[in-house]
Amino acid sequence: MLLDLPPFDHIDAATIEDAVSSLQKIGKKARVIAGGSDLLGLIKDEVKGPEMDIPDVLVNIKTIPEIQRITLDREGNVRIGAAVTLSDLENDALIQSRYSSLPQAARQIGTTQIRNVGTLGGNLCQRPRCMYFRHPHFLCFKKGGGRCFAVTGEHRDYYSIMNYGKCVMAHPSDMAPALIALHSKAVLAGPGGEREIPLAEFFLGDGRPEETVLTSAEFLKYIRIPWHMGNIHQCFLKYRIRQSTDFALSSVAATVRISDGFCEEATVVLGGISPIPHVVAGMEDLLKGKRLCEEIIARAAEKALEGAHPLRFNRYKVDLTKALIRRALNFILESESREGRAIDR
Amino acid sequence: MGEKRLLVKGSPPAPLDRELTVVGMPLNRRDGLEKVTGQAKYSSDLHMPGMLHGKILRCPHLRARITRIDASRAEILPGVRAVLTKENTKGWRTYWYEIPQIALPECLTYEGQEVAVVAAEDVDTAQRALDLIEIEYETLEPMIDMEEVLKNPPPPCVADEEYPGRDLFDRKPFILRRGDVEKGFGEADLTLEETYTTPTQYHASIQTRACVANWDGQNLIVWDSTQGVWNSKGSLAKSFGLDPDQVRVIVEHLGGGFGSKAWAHRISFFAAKLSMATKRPVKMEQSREEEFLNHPHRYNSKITLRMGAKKDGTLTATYEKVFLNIGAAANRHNYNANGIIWQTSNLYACPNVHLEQIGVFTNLQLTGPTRSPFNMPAIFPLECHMDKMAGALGLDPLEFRLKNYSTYASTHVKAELREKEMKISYSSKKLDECMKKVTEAIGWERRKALSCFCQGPKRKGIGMAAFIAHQGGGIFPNTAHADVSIHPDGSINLYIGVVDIGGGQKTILAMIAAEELGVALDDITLISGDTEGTRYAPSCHSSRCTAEMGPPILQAAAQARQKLFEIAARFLHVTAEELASKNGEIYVRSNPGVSMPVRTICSNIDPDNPIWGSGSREINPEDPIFSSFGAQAVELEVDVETGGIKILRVTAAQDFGKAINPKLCLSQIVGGIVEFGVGFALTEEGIYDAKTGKMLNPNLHQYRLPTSLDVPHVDAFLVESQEPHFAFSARGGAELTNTPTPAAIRNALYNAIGIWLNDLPLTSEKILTALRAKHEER
Amino acid sequence: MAKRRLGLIVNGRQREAEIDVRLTLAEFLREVLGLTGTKVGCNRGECGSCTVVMDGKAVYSCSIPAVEAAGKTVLTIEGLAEKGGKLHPIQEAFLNEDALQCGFCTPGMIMSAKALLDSNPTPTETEIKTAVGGNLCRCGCFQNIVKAVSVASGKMAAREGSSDG
Repeated sequence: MLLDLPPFDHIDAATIEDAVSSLQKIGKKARVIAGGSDLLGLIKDEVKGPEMDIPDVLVNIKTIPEIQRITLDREGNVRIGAAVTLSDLENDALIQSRYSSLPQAARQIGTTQIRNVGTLGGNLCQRPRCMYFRHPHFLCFKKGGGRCFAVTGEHRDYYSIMNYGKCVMAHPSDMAPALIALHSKAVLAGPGGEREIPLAEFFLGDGRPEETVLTSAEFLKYIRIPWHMGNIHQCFLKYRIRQSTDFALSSVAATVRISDGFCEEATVVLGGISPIPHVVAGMEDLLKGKRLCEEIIARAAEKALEGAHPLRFNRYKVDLTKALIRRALNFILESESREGRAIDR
Repeated sequence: MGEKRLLVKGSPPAPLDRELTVVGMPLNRRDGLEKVTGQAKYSSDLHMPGMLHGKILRCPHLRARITRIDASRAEILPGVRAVLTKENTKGWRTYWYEIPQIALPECLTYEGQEVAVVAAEDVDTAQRALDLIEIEYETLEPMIDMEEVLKNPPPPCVADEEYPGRDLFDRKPFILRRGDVEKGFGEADLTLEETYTTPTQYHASIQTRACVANWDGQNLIVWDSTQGVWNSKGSLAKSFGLDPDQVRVIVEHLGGGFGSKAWAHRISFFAAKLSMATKRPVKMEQSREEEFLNHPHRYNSKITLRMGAKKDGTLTATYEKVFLNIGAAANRHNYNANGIIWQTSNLYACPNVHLEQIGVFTNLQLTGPTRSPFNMPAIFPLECHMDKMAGALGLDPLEFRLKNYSTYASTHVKAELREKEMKISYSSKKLDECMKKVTEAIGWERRKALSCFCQGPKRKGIGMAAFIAHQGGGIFPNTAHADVSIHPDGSINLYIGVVDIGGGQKTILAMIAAEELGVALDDITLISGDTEGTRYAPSCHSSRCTAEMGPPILQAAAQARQKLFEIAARFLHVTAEELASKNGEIYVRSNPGVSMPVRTICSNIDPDNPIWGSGSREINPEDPIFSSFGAQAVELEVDVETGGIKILRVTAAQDFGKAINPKLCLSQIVGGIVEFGVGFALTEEGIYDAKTGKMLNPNLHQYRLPTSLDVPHVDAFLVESQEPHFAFSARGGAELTNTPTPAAIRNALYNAIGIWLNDLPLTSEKILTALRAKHEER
Repeated sequence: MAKRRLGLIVNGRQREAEIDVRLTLAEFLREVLGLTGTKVGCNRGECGSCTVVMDGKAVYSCSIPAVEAAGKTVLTIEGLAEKGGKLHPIQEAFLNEDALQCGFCTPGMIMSAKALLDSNPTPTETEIKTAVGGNLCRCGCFQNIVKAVSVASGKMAAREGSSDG
């Protein structure tokens, strides 16, 4: 018997309201549990601090039917429930037909077993993979302590090369950059009812105790992908140490709308290299009205990393990320050319 | 060369003189059925009536002294049955790896060291009890980094602080000299010096350490997760001042060891002590984090090699300086003073050598046998350097190695002979065949052209490496024994005190007996993994098992067989010497048509006097030397934009003597390469906080074992040789298969991108940094 | 200590028990039901030795609260063999192809393969590797494991074919 878990209460929520009211009543010592892949590990490892409690109550939201589904609403927006598993997301016909970058992202997360249980919401709301954050003996900023240990310590893999402040962790989600590149919205459930914000604004950086805007009585309900993002050219690429299990050392999500060979819209979002998924500024200005080609793709990659200021031992991520950006845009160029040739026939 | 005879005490049996019907067959492993059905019980699976659960409180600091410990609140927690601290265990030592260690000292010397142990009715209560133990530490300045540590003398010990083995091994260079190394360098047309580093490596066996101990007032039984029941028995008896006959150790199945479980682990001692205190069985199971923190792993190394050679490739001089981070304790089992340099001395012919090996004590966790313990840190630098030398001389790396091929050993393994320069033959050495086999199989002739391969960001390369390892066990004073009994109902029992650690020992050792007796494998009933009913057998580590157990098993089987022949002789009207047996039949050698089934003869055995045969291993002679050899070649693809390596194919050849079971043997070769080999080369790394020395990745998430999607395809070949000293020429050596893999990968990487990397693991970070530096140089 | 009544189907049988809410599914199977074939190698969902098939999908039983398996169907290694103890083709193939050494990862490995072949009877080599990508094997048996799963899929397809015909 291992019984690494401390005592807790477990509530199956029947509805959204049920869940919200439990969270509201209990406060900081309650947390929602969806797949539990990250949450249970954190509890078992006793990751805690003045700003991070080990929960006493787990509110199960897998028992709420409305957030287990992927639906298409009347306006053509795709809604993905936060408790949809990553394997269901990967294999969903609607998602595959409209948003190919999402299965590209989902299938590279974790392992088969993790994808069978882990959820979209869990992937977006997961905690950092920083080794100091997850070590019970290092009390860092995120847990309410007074310093960051990684900045002068170990920071080669899951750490930032840009946008960091006092905390240098890199956000580990793969679904986040892929969904942000699709201009997705996050719909949150809370005491005030439902609220919708751009997914890009869901994340918080700079060493705050939480990585998202969720209050202790809120949880992610679903992600809405706006109807007009269907059929946009898209690509998601991830680079990691092993071909299974590992998080991204760097990831890139790109969406480009191409009309008659010319770029109209472009969004590039970088993951694994910044405390929050990084939307590359000025990408649309650079590409709009132009044809994708080797030279412009190279320029885009250089521009995207202009603001990079890597840590002492993760400089290699700059070149790595530029390569991934070039490859993602090349993928889009090639898929666009293929379609063009198909139409020509 | 000395006499070639089976390494048994007394007279070896005559050779079988017939074709083999069992040995050499690719039979399924005989304990596979229970494993694939979930019926196999490991120590983690055991439950006993009245069983208590033990838990350990561990020191979070690398070096500290307990200034206050008060377990009174834990002791009175309902459900707690015993609490051990330094207060009630004074004078008690454990003998993990035979290292005498104060069980619960006042002064702690490595992270995770035990400070208190609790037994309770359930795990939950035991864990809560740990939280109730009040403890205060004075933290002391830890020794972390080898080079930093060497700048100052060792800090004086505090209180009962001890570093077992420090007097023998700390900072004491062991030097091997031959010829005149300065003169040798003077004769060289090319001299190259490089420094290499290899990281720590953790066994990460999928089963963590677990045991159940039961003291009944007179006798101790431990159902353990050890690779050696007899070694464990001895250590436990010593720790508790018991007669060894009072201690029994049982292992039915073991979930991986790779050297980490070669003796009774610390929890075995604590579980036994708790059982003695409570008079109930006690189960202790390590968590994965404890498994990382608290058992010995591979030492990291820093090795400087300088080699000199003539234009034609002849080596003239080798200088080597080896630093090994030993951690907080050492003994001859977990640190061999010349373990690394022995290989540098012997792998190639070089007349002038000066080799130094220095172990450095630090407050990192203990280090110990880890699959090919000396070989990994020894062979990586040596085989990397050989390739760099060849490159600088403009010679083909294979030809360069063959040019310096040595058919004899210059340095012995026996402690008393290690410093002498010798010229002793190997019992057999087919390393040249191995090297030729793997390079031919990989397509070595494509190597030059492949270095020009360029497809977008992809480059390709081929590389090779070879290795030598000391082999064959036979260390005095532990003599391996085996016994065979034959019964009137036809049952044949083989009694061997070995543990099957996954290498198929239960299968191959029984195959030796079956062949010698002339019966089928299934006719042998195995009594193993238990000190009761068996005699001393070595732990299954250090590549000892097949080499040490094979000969006594053969001898025991032959002895029993001859006694059976004496009964058969009466029925077949010949003398026993005229008989042979095969496929379950005893037959007249000169007239095979005249035969009787073994079972029928057995029915004439006196039920009160079953037949017995016994065998005992002789220690290894001084001459010849027994070694294992092998070579590997690797073809890989590198992405120069991401630094990612994809190994396309590995070819491997190993000289085991002969394989008792080729199916199991090939599994070992492949298995060692793809995990301990590829992992060490590319993905595994113990990561420590530079300031505090704490391990930051004691988990299977960020200590990265190769997954199914990371492992390359391996084509493995067995290069066979005659080895009359061993049973059916089975010299063994399946442990060592991971040895040359990292160097072969690194040499292939050079072939692909023209960069020499000297530090493992070969990560994207290192490759991209090196490529950028090369680019900036231009 | 919070308790709850749990009911689910394990290896074809309805099982009921009152359990501590924090018990993982792995602990429930091993400690309450005595099915020790499912192993716990890390208790963090990182090694895969606890893999069982739940409602047709391979999952890490160490990372699922047992109470969340209520009403579900779970298959463990002990439930795989066919009537009369006849080995499942995956088990047989593992034996014949020597797809195991120490055996500790083997039950989880086989269950991942079972989940794969039930949903994808003719997997490619990459699909097999992906299915067991979350099962660590330190003995390094992957080459033989992939072969075994491939052989098993062939056998199962042949059986389907012959039962159709």
